[in-house]
Amino acid sequence: MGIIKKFPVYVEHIPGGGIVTTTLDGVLNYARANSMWYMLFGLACCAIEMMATGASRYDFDRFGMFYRASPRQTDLMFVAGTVTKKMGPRVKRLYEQMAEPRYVIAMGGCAIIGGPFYYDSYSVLKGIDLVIPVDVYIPGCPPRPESLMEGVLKLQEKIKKQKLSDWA
Amino acid sequence: MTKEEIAQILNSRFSEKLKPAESVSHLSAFFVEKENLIEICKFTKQSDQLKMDFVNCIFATDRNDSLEMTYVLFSLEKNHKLCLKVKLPRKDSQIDSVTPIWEAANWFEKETAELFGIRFSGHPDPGPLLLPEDWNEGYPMLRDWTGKDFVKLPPK
Amino acid sequence: MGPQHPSTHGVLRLMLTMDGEVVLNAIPHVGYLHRSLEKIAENRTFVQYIPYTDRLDYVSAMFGNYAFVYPIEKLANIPVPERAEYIRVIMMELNRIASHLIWLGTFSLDLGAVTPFLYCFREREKVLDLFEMVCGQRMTFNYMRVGGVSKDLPDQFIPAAKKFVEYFKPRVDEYEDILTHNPIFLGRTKDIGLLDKEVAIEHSVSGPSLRGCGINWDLRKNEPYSIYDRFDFEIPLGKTSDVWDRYSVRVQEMRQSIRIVEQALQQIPQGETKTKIPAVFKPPAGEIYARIEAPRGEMGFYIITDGTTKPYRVKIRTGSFCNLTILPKLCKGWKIADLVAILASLDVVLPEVDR
Repeated sequence: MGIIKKFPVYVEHIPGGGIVTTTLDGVLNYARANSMWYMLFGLACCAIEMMATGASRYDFDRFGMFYRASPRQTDLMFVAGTVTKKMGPRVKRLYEQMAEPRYVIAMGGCAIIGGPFYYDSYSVLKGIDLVIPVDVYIPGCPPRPESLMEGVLKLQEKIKKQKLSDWA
Repeated sequence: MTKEEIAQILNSRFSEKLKPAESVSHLSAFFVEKENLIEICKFTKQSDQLKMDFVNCIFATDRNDSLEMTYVLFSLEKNHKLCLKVKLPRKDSQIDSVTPIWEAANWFEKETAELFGIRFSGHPDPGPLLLPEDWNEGYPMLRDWTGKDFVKLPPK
Repeated sequence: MGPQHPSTHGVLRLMLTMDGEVVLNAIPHVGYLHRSLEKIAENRTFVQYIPYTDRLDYVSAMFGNYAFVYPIEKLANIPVPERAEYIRVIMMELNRIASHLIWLGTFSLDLGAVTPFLYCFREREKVLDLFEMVCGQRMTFNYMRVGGVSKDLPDQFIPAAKKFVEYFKPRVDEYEDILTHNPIFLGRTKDIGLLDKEVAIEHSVSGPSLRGCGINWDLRKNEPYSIYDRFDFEIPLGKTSDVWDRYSVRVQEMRQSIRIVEQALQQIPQGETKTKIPAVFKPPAGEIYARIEAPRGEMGFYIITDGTTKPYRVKIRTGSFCNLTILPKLCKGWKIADLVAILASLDVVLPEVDR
């Protein structure tokens, strides 16, 4: 009964019985948002902050997120760190190996626009959105674990607004 | 051994082939011709007084009209350093590789070759190290290089 | 074994030639994180370049800062106040502890033990709290300047640091309890990945990997820089130069680092924290090479200046660059699970290799 109080949007209580109805969208989005498994894809400094967010003090596991090594088993990719021109095609290949629905969070200045390496660098890709579509951008160099969690919560909000007709 | 003693040992053997490099501080440094490089390097490694068995760094600098290779060597046993410099032409330069003498020079020379365009003859494994395999935009570390999406920091 | 793999520390690609489970040859392919830091240096002033030196080896960013600032001070003969030297030593040794904690956490994670990973990160958060108190950043500090440090320590730093020292000393014993004499750990690390002394010197290996072979070489004792000659600490050495020895050298180094921090906290004087240098700083034209003992080996900067506000050429020499070249020789004949342990014991951080 507590769940009915919490999610009035998703749930209707039919008088006289123990039946709960909701929308298919609502249930699927709720399940997807609260149990995202992310791929270990740390490239540079932001990777350490990603690991620290998943470790003891700031814990990702309470959001239902934990890391998987293989892209086939994940639905979220944190691009954490500088992407170079040599690494760009590999990132694209990994993104294509993820199963839909898949989301990408660009973490840190380097993944958004090239970061401090925008000027005078011949080998840095100026932003990961030149290669793959990005859902949430988290600025910072490196972003604090609290920023990272805020970014994840924003992604959860975005997922909860999705409609089944977009994917199916 | 101090700077002066190292300089004395090298000068006593190779005096006409060395020229002191004054701009380097805290190190004994010499300019060397590229033909004599291998001979001098072998001597510094095998000599009992010098025994340079450790490579600190090997790199090139673009001096606008020429390239300059710098070798900084070190002896673990005797705790002293030496710096050798070689002047090379800017385009199509070629120099003997010191990898047969010190294995550590392998990657240093690969990096210099792909970034500055110097060919190292006798290198066991030439090829790109840091740049992508399909890189065809020239030698990036030269001071007048520009590329496709190379953005220079605008002056204030 | 591609650039994205849970066990490669950063984006390293290994081309393995295998015979069943046995590795015959392992060639590292690097360059996936080449950020052209040396080209950037030609167009930045000395102060503007200091944040880039943090990102060289981000796990031990204070050493990157110091390795850049130290040659310039030597070249231009700039004296550094006493208090600044003590602050620098405290920051560097705390950073050495943080770096070794990350190494220990990921090393045990690679071998399959998840608990030490969480313990190490718990300790590391406390160190990062201290850093945040001083310079506002957890990981890439931008703290050291030519002639000293940028800000003085706040009042609450020294009591907090003393409390941390007391808290940390029994923790190292805790890690040793879990790992050092554990039969599974010994089975996976003893007598694996033996490194000959001649091969190590031939490849210019430095840092704990060299000390694991038994060669007594530490720049803090053999070529003292800053004020390390005032502190009383030992250099741990290994005997058999296998993976277990390299692990044990690093754990002992954590103990010695906390000893140095304790002594420095007792001896730190009052005073200035930065020598005044002109805002538009132009060091004399010349060249210099200076190096320090970073947690992964010898980090040195060869700086060529030409009398303007920007360096003419900066060459960065890092420990991991040379340490990675011995990998093919170390892992001939071992199985792929041992390859993971050997690579983790070398403690290679890829941004240092690629710069």
